Amino acid sequence: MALQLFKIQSIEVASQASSVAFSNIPQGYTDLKLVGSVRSAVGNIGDFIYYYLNTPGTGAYTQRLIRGDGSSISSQANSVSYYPLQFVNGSGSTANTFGSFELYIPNYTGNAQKSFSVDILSENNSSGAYMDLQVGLWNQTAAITGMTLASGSGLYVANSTFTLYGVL
Amino acid sequence: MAIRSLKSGTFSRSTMVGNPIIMPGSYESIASATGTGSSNTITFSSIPSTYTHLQIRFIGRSSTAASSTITMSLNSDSGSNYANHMLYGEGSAMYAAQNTSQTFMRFYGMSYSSLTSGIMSAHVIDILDYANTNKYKTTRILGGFDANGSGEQGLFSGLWMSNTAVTSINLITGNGNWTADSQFALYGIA
Repeated sequence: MALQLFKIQSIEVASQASSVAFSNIPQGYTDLKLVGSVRSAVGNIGDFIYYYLNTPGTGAYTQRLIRGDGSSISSQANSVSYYPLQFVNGSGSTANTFGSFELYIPNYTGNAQKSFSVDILSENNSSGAYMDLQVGLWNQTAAITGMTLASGSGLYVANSTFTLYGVL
Repeated sequence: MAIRSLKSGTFSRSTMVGNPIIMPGSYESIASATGTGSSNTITFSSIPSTYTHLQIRFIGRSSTAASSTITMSLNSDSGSNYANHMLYGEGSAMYAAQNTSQTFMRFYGMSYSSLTSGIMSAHVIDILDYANTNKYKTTRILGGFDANGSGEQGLFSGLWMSNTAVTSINLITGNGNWTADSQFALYGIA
């Protein structure tokens, strides 16, 4: 059967918002795909998102990434109580510019720890735009029923969008 | 097209009363294109504004014998309204690069004619909120090629500094033409 994509929910920030959340995620799909076009109100070029699965504070996350910033390359390994989804555009970047990301979670209803992949970038008509290839792990075996994305700086600007899809 | 009930898991072609609850898919083909061997440009035009996001998937190869960039422009805008950033590798080294205030976006990972026949690059291009007139357009591109001893692959980003909805996309080889086995597909995503 060909890959099929079904929109579960789309959230667009109408005015500034500190977080968005998807709840009661249907359990009938195989994988989940989350995409975002996001800008933060922080005055930096880039900002990150606190990403949580199910109830914030449940379980722990590890992350490995490779990053480019337009002139240099780096890699990181992180272990924290939230998943740092980084970086999207901050308000210190070129006006009207929004970061773009895709987060893919295979087998989200399975009974193993949850692995996921991320490609995320901010854009900027200048130096300092960040782009990452990431892998993450949530150390819980529960099915994913919700997710929360909280702005690292405190606020998403209007026209930031988040769309969650189920994949069959 | 068969559609599946997420409640019962059964497939159905009908939305008639009495059938399980069904939902249409969110991923729809808009257009496709094929290289000709005599043109360096692939164009998708008259793109409807009725979707939320766009995605292009393509396999490509240039008729030139050496590595080449791929450039992309939106709505045929040839002004200095683009920027791009790159994170890419070739098997033994990694690179980061940027270009600002350009007349097009560019990215790498194009297969070329001196490689073994049939080796194509594969790329996926995402443009989120392409019809949103309150934001500039950011493209996110993942792709490259592997030629069993050489290759190039990366994550590439592009910025078009315009709030206008995207209605056309040009993909242009930096050198040479798109070969006749290059294939491109544009999808709209709800």
